[in-house]
Amino acid sequence: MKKFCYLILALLFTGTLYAQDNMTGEEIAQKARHSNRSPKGVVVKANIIMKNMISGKTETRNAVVITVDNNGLAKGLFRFTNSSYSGTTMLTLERKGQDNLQYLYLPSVGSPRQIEGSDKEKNFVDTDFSNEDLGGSKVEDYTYKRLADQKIGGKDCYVLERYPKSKSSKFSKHVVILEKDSLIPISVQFYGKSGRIIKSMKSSDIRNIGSNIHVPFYVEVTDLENKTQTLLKVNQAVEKPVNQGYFNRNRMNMKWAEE
Amino acid sequence: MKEKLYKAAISLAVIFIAATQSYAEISVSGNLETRNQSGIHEGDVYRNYLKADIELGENINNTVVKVLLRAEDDSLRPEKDTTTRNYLSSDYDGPQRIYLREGYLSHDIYFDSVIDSINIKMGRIIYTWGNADEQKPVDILNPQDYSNLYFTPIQERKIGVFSGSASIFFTENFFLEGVVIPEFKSSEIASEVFVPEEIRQLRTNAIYNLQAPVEPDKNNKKNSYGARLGLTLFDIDMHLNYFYGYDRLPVNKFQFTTTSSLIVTPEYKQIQMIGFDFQRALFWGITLRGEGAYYTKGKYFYYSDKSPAGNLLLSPIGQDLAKGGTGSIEKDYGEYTVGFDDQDFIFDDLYLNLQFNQKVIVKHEETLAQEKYINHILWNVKYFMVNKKYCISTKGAYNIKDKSLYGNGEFLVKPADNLELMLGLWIMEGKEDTDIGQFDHNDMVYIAGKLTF
Repeated sequence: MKKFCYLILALLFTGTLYAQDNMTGEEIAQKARHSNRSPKGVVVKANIIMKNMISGKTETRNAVVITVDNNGLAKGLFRFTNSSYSGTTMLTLERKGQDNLQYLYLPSVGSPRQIEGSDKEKNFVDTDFSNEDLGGSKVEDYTYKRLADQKIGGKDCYVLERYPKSKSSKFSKHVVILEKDSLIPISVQFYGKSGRIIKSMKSSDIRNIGSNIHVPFYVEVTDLENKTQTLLKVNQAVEKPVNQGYFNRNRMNMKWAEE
Repeated sequence: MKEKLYKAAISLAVIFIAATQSYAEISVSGNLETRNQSGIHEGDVYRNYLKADIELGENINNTVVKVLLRAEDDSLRPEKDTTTRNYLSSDYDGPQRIYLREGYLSHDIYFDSVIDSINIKMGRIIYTWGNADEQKPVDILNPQDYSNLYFTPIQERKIGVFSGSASIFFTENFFLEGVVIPEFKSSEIASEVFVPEEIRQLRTNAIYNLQAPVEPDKNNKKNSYGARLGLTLFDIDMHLNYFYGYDRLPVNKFQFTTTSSLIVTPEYKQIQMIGFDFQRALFWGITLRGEGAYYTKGKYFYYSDKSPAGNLLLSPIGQDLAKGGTGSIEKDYGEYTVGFDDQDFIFDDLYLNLQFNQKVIVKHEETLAQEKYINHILWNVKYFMVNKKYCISTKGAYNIKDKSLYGNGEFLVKPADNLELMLGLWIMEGKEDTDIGQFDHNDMVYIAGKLTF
């Protein structure tokens, strides 16, 4: 769950600030982190499709994501609204100079559980999203190398390599391609210790939904080792004022008007 | 009774159809669960259980309406019959019932200031206080259905209570909640199989003359009150909890009669509880959690009925009754549960939850029937496989003092995203005179299915 929430945060809070071409890889990453954030709030309704690439079997769930920027720090909520995971809710609170604070609410438990932040590479529930995939880590968790810019689908893009500082990471590096206009990552390739790509993420159909808030309406994460895929198809994304009280662990069990 | 169930089922169907067709904006969700529990030793069928939860919801701007209807057909529960007193409940319905488990209006007022929002809620509400699992000392606002004992998880046992609450959220790290409960609703003990020896004795031993429970304030003269303060400090989530109101389980009041029998009258007492709970994520995926409650009023403990000569009159309870007592004494009482869990213990997808629970009678007397300390170790271990499509798990509790335990093993499979099938067993071990050991002969297997829609 937290991985998924991170993904949403990463995708919704990456930047629209136009980066200057002499920026380093880390500066681009910092710009991306601070962009696409709305102090009013963003509400996204989406279908999550889990696909077994061998059997072809798929499962579809509905989800609602609410994000807001509060004085430069992001708050995010993610909730499954159907299936046996209905009501399962993740709250992410970004903090300055500290790890993000995260809570997972399961209706069967009844109270939110604080989540330990060290499991950044673990999958969220049964999806293919992981914390690292979804931007759960801080910019400072990596070292960066900027590669030559590329033009993909007619769009100018930055290309970065980033290397995990953690020695326990199962990845050796990520290759990230960000669209220059929106600063949304349109492709991330994850290299294992063996040097092979073991996971990939692609996003497309990027739309401006408000005051320079860009949202990818399609995200696809593929686990090449386990042959599984998770697709995020956004049905609706709007920038609108949201209740700041939602972002409190003590009300994760309550329904939202936005559901 | 079946006619009643059919009518209720038709009512639910009408509500469902009306909700889905006439009012498309009303959300409808729910689940259907079916379960069979059968004894291992004698092969008796303990329980055939069919349950449907239907949740209706509607959002109108900052107001949310939630209605959770539950329909149950539970062969474990006895027929409604006031002459046998084989159930304990303020409004018992029998094996088949449809009731409003939870239903409320919730309204948010939000601000752009130090107060993020105020939430006001009124209706039949299920509260969850505390941070421990299953043995939760501060989670006492709702009555529970104990008919299937601890084999049903606590969240499923709870019954909504008519109440109003106001919560003030100051940033994401601080909040205040006040609760008023202008209704008394007792917990339910209504089982054909899992009847504690104490209750069995009261019902069957000729020495006892069991009276109808004395239920408090039918006219709502006395409310119950709760308050909670939540705070996050140094990444420790904590709450201070307070409750003043009615206990959901009664205290039996004993009285001698001239015919050498004992009149037993269950009474619901007002209790006062001050509680604290916390949680803190540590490292390696480990989270520390716990909660504790201290009762300064309303907790009564029975005197022992043991005497050297086996004469009840010479026992501590006999002597107390002879002096005009009621067989029990009020004591300060404490209970806490503390433990940790780890989502990926040792290897991926292995969930471990270990807790220690202790109950303490303050200023304990040797003449009491209950020991000063009751200590339990609780465990819950799950291993998920094949992208969480399969799960094997075990959970249970072990009483350190009397060496009794109850434990569960289960295999769960998810053939579809909204369907869970379970096969498992419960074992109870211990001496016959222990709380758990008295059910030693009730070891059972179960098969269950749950469909979510």
